[in-house]
Amino acid sequence: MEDLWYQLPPLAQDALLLVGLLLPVLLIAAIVLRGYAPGPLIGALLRRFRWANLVFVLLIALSVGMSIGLIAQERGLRIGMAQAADKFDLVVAAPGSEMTMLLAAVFLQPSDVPLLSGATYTAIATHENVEIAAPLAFGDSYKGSSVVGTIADFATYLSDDRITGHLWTDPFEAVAGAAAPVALGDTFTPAHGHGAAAEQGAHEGVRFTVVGKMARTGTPWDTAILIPIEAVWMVHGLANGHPLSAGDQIGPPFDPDLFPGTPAIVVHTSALWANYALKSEFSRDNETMAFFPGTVLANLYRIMGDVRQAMSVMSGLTQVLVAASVLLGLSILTRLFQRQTAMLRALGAPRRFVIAVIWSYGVTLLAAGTALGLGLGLGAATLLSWLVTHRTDVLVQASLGWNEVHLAAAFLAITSLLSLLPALVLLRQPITNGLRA
Amino acid sequence: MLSRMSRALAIVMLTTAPALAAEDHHDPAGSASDDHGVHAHDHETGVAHAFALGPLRVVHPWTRATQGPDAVVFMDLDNTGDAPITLTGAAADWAASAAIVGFTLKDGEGRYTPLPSIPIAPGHDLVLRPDEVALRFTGITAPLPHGGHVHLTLHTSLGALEIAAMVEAADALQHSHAGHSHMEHGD
Repeated sequence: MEDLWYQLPPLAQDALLLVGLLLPVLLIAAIVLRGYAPGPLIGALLRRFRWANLVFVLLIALSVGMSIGLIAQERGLRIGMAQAADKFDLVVAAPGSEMTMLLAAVFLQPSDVPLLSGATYTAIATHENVEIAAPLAFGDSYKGSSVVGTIADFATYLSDDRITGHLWTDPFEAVAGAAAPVALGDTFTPAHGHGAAAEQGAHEGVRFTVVGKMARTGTPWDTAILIPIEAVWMVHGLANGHPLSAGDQIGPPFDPDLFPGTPAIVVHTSALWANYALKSEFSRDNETMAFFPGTVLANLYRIMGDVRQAMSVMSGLTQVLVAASVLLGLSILTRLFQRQTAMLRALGAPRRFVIAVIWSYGVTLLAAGTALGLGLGLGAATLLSWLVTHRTDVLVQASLGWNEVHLAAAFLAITSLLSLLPALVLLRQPITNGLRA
Repeated sequence: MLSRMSRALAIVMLTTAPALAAEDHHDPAGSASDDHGVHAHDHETGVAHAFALGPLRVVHPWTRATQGPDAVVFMDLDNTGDAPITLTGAAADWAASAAIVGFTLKDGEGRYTPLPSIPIAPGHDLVLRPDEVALRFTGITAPLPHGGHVHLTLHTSLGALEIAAMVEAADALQHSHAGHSHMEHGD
């Protein structure tokens, strides 16, 4: 049976799980409601105590929405981060921390790292199966945006060739990301460094003209301004990577002896397998470090997964508390119409009919609260995602997934079972007590 | 926690059949003592964990305990020769099929994609490790219990190599002996 379960496609597993979770509710409904139509009576109860019902539904919606919003948001963040790293198959850097290089190359949070030599760059760039070997030179900024030196192919690759204007043809031309603080045709002088410590006058006299603007990618690179790596070297008083005989050549091939160095090389290969062969070749002690940003992120998710588990335990405990409150709330609500149910019983209504009315009434409120909670959760996650996207430039999109639907269904199933209790308690009380209430 | 409990509840609701006891499974592996090219043995279990085929050295093969239909096997492959060696695939009698797989992260979810073959340059090593590259065995005939070992055959451009992989814990991230060298045991 377990083998059969594993062989099912994920969609079928998720759908069956949902059916399985809702099965107890349907079973109780079939047993309790068989032969009865308590609809009109429930409608009357809902209208008669509409404010108490509304508060009850809203409380359930809030509790379900908070749990669901958290889970949806966490997944949205995970997907957003993975998409930001999507274009970075393999990164080669000097030996050090993979996380530091991931933050620098993918999330544009550079720190001082050793440089790779021209010989290393040439070995990677000329390796068979390597389509793009893009050197990245960080360190300068303009109005808070990173100004990154690289090659034209990287701009094309990063934006999937969706560039308004054109690529640079001169060392002092730039291609800006969609959210960079410059427009086509603008000129700017980069500051040396980032943030408050940036030296504004360090590159006085150097002016770049924006000749291209990349389409939005949903990654932190949307705020970056790309310039030819030759310009970065020249502005810092270094060789430009080419011999004099090369004239005004921009981009590879570079002369290994005249290559001042690069902190990182982003590698894109023609086939997936080539990444592993390259990683094997460029993982050299004391020389180079090659890593997959996807793997580093997966490791990070593993740690986040532990946090997520702690969060689920807390959320689980909260749901238990909520279920207990629901039970209490339903008991209070059923007390509100104690007189009406006693009247029903005095008129000779079967016990099962009274249970059917009270249980269906409770489940109607619970189902409405849960459904509203799903919407509320999506709304909360959308708002949080919008905030994260604006603060980090990582495009985070919230959506409802199976996990959230399962959580809501489990909540509904457990609380529906509990809803039988107030009905049973009410039936144990003498009819005369109810009539006097 | 709630969703896990509810998932378990749902599976029970759906499958009225009693849970299958996994106590009486047979050990899919046998003894690894007759492998050719064995270089080093575990001092406690007597299972080899370094192997060689010509200039190809295989150190610390391991996998994770599993009850599921798939298992991923990891190891260090070291090319000590002066010509490239290609890892072309693997096979085992306790699994229906095997493939080299590479890890990719799509939409925040990691998955393994089949790869044709991977060349190992002379003087370099290819590390098969979680979330990077691995050998995936599908259609496993019996669960792999923690603490045991499984036999498998590596297919390379040099020929086939029989090895035994340690079965580590279900959530292990590395071979329990990782970090201690077996190079001094070389042939």
